[in-house]
Amino acid sequence: MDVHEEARALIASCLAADATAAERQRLAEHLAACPECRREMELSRRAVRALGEITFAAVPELDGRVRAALARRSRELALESARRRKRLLGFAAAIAMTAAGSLAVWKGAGRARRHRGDLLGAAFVRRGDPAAGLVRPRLTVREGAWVMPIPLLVLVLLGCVSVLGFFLFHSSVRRVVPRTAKLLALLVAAAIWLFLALFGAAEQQLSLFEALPIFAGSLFVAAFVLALGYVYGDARRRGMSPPLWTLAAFLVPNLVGFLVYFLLRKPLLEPCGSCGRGMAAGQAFCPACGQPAQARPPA
Amino acid sequence: MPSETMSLTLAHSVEPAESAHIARGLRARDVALLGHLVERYQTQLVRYLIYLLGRREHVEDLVQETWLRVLERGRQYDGRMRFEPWLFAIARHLALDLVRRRRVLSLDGARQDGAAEDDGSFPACLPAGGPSPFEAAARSEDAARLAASLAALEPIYREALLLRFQEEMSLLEIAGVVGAPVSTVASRIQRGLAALRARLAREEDADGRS
Repeated sequence: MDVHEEARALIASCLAADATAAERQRLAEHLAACPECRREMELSRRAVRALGEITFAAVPELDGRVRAALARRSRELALESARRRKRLLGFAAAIAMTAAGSLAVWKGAGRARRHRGDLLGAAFVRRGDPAAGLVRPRLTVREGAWVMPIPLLVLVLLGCVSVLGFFLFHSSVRRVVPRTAKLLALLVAAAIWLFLALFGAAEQQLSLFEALPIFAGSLFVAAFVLALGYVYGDARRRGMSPPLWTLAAFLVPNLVGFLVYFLLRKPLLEPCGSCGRGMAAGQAFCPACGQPAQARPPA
Repeated sequence: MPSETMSLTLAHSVEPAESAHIARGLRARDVALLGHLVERYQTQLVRYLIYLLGRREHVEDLVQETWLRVLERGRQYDGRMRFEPWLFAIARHLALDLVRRRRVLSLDGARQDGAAEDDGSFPACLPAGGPSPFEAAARSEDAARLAASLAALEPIYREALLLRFQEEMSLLEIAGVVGAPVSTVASRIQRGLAALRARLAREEDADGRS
């Protein structure tokens, strides 16, 4: 590198903010001896100064636009991370429920084998002599069978009653559950009560504390039917397949089907501005009437 | 050189505490802090994008896009470097994306794209009609003289000159923004400065003769 080339490099760095004192010193020494480089330095300084004199007017409305966009996106991001948290939590819950359910079935199956047909603490056995041709079923408590403790029984009863009340009387939930599901829940519960009345109380084979778990079971089954009804109605108003999701909630054990439904369900459809039928939030045109979506107020 | 010593202190007065504060705010997605940053860096960001693109179109969209990216990727800023180079690097990526997309769309210069990958270069925009944004923004006689050659200069030289002498970034910071080695950045600055100098010298000679 010849001295002038080096000087030109020094000019560039000395015009910048972070030149060292040594660099300045070296350049000053060269410039004192070289008029050509002195002119280069002069022109460079003018050029850099002129660069500073090219100023762009601020765009006044840009700040507001950017801020509005930031606020919107930050809301979206918050929603998204909440959704991700919910998924994660649901995943953990599904694993826990599967594990707990499997454990219960495993333990319960062992006990059932020991006691041949336990039903909530009451054993269902056949009495009478099969050879005589007269086989009359009845309910009795076999020795060693597990009888539900009273506090647990009260808890189960209260839980079932509150879940039933929720599906039947909650102002927004009860509108989602189809009437058929309510009727079906009543029928199922009534059938169990009838069974109790015929084979339990009528023959005086069951004490109150033996009959109550079966009663609680009837409430549980009714609540289960109502919950399935809720899934059916809710899937319909979200544009998801109601039979498919109801079946999934019914078939997947340990209530994991319900859990999966609540994790994966789509947002509610909104009524179309022109025909009133439901359309998904992202749709630009109504699938039913073809009209463009109205501008909706931000959430 | 009193003005230079002043700018020297200015460039280094940005304390690490401030970068750390910004990094904390970005990690928490603090919209209020982002609002302050938008206010503070808007003019610089607009100017940088105009220097990169050589035109005003799309600059505002890119500014908005850049800030949204800052909100989304804010966790990646660790506060060890200054905020401004980090911000400019994001803006540069987005501008590069935009220019490449448009070049592919117009099928013009698409063949050069392979070469323009990772050496910190920047493809020139197709010239827009009308006067360049630099001519419109010149506030002095010298500035008006430079504006024309600035518009004709390749984006990478314009960019290097702006970052070095206006934003007062160090060579290392500029290298981080443009993704090129420090030596390349230094030579770009020298060549860019030489081009501007030549322009002023020509004017001077012409003035001298007349």
